[in-house]
Amino acid sequence: MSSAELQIEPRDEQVFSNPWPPIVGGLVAIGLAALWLHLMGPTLPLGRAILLSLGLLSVGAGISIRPKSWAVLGTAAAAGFLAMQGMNPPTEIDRGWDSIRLMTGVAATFAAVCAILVTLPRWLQRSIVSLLILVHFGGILTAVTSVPPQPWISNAVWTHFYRPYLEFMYLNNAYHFYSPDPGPATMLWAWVRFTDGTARWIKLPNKEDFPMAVNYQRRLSLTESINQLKPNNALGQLYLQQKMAQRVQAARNTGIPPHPVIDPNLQYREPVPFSKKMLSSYARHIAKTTRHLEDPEQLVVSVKMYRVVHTIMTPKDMLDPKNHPLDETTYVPYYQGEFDIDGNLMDADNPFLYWLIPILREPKRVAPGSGFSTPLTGEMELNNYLQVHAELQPERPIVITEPIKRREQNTP
Amino acid sequence: MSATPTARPLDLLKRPFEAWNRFWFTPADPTVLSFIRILAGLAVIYVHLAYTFDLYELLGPTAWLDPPTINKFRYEAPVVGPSMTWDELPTLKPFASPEERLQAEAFMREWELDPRMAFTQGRWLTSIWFHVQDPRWMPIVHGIGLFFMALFTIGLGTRIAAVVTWLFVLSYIQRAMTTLFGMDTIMIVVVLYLMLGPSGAALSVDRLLSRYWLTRRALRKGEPIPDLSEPRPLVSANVALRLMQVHLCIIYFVAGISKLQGSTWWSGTAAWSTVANYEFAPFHYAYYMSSLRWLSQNRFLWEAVMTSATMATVAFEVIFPFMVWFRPTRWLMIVSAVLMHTAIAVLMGLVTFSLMMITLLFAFVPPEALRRLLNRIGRNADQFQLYFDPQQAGAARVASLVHATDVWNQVEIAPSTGQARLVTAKGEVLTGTQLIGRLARSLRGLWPLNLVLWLPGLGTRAWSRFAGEQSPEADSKRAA
Repeated sequence: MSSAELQIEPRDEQVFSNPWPPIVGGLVAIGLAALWLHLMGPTLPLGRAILLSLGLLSVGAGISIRPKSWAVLGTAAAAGFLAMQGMNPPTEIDRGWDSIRLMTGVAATFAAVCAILVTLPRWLQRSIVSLLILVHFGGILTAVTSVPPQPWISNAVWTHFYRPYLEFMYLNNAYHFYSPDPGPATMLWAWVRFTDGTARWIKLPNKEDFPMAVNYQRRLSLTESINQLKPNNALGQLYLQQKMAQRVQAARNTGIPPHPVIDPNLQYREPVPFSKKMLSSYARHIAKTTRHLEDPEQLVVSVKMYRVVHTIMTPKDMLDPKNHPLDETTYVPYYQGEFDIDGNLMDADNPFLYWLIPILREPKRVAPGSGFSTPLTGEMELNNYLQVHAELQPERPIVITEPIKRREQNTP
Repeated sequence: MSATPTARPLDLLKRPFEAWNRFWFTPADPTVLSFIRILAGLAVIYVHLAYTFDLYELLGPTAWLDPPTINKFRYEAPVVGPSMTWDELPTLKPFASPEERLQAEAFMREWELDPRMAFTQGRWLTSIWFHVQDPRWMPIVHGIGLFFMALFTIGLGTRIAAVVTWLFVLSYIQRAMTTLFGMDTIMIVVVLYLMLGPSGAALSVDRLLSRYWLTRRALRKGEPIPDLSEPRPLVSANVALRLMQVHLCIIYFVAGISKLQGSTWWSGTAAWSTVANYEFAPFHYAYYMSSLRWLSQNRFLWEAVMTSATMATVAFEVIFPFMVWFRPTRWLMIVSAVLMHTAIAVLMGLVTFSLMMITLLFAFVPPEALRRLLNRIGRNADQFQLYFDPQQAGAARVASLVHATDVWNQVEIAPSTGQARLVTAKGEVLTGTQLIGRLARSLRGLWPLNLVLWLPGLGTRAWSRFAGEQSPEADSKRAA
């Protein structure tokens, strides 16, 4: 007799002792869904989803009644694979229920492996489980060493072996919390322009907007997601020099200077492609969900996006009671582009794109805007060049087509 | 004088395997795992209740990360692996056709990468929310998820509820991937291990039902009432707890040593970057700002506080994985961890993250300590004696229910003849609905029954049917 369990749970303790009624019932429901799909095609998706869900739950109930039986586990595995036949397969047009099929396939495979495992002698069961534990933590090890500089072998094993497992299970985190150094928070500010020419700011996140703290923290993560940047040394010196020249010219044309203190090499920060796609998606969301405050008929025509770093006050700053964390000069915005309502970047050639647009407290001049040749008054004034930049008109006119219909489609 | 036997080489080789076997496969009391289930379940419900306010914003068709973008990540995002030779840049194969070149150029515009340099494309993501995008169905599916999370928390149908809960937690995470933070990372780990282990074997409705059924069966067979005071130790419970323990040690260790790459952790100023971060710290309290300003006035004091906090954080995270395994230092490590996470919750606003970490930390609490804590709840509770006739089905059901829910051994059950009666410590004899009313008030496991008994008429009638007794209303009708 094989000891079929790592731990024998007496059936006496089970409220229900017979797993087969729920398993058979589940198989029937799953079989009906699979048969429907086979005969009638991908019609009645809701009905099939309900049949499959109830069927899989019923089979799961059978497993919970007798979890250590190879027959039960094997039948459950078969039910899982059969359930995949009841789910929309990928076609030329779309991918069907691909991720649900993946989920079900993984569960069915796991049940099949367990069905084999429970038939083995105890020493072999423990050996296999031990191996699985080592493999699991081996994957965790490749994940925690995935942050550069990383070992080549860890990268290779992750890429070629562990990636599907870790991504599927969401175990891909490196746990490098606040390392190498804790940094300032990143915010997302959007200058939303409407058809009547007016515009307003959408500033994310704002603590007061969220009933629960966790919702606010999710917005912080959302804004942080656009903070994945290319290292400037990867962009090439010539490219950066060209960018700098364009920036200096733009400063002369618009009066928006580079930041006088921050290293010029840190004033140009281009996001990685992932972050660019997120920006595009966020712009679409803002365009679809932002309403004109006074006239609901006005539609959004474009969204200017800024990644804003909220610098942390130093202890020396704290000494002056006039200094406050919400002072405008503590915000360091980087222009991320102007997007149309479909999330398309409209000004890829804009000289300010990915550049820091400063908010500065500068010495006030007798004749404002007249340059360095005019005398100083001895006072300081706030120069919000971000507002100046936001209000710059686009070089190309924006054409709205079928605005009303699109607005109705956007409403959930 | 006895000589110490020399260990044979084979015994020396066996020792690591025996130690491994003891570490992973010794049966353990599932009470700790079940307690973690309750804590984690409550946190999971809270986190996913919060999604109710953000369902369309984070998961819907016009979400911040909308379906076209997430699908690009799922199907097209390139994965660049390391070069398998010493050449950092691979030799690229020429394009097989003009169409392939055009496709590659389109890919390069999209992803700023030659597709021939990618090992593969796409991500292994799975989520119900990739497929449920109809705004009418989203709240229903969300409600179903919350329902199963509630079942998981109370431990009803735990094996199924745990799997469904894990699937739902994974679904929210994979769909709203740009809104995740440390709390989600820890939550999925905790729920995964709770799903793998017998987290419903104790402190659960499943356990209550099992106790009821065991007692009922024993009474039916005329056997003595079984002692169900503690659940059976299980190997699977130990495996799940060990997985949590090892994973937590990895988290702390990696979090600690990765900080050593940062200059502010060495200079002792990293703590300031967290407590003075406006978006995280409680600046909405005026006294908090005042405290920081006051601290900044004295440099020596500021440096002492910040350096201590910074160094203590790194030191704790690095030594925890080693010191927590030794009994003399275990409680010190546990308490230190709780203090650190409490500070993170208060000073950085990361309450749910801290709660999840503390939940995971319970894996290190010895089951005896947890039992002592739980037994304190039942201290000085009222004591009773219940007499019942095992031949009467209703009375047997009552005795089974009482024994199942009497987790603090308040009721001594004894077979007798005649109607079921409850004798209090003061000698009071109670029968019928008075019996169950008193027990429902006194037995903490039966408190939910008060909700049923409170229903006017219905409650007492339902109880009378269960106990096989005449209801007071039937008595008064007969009398009339």
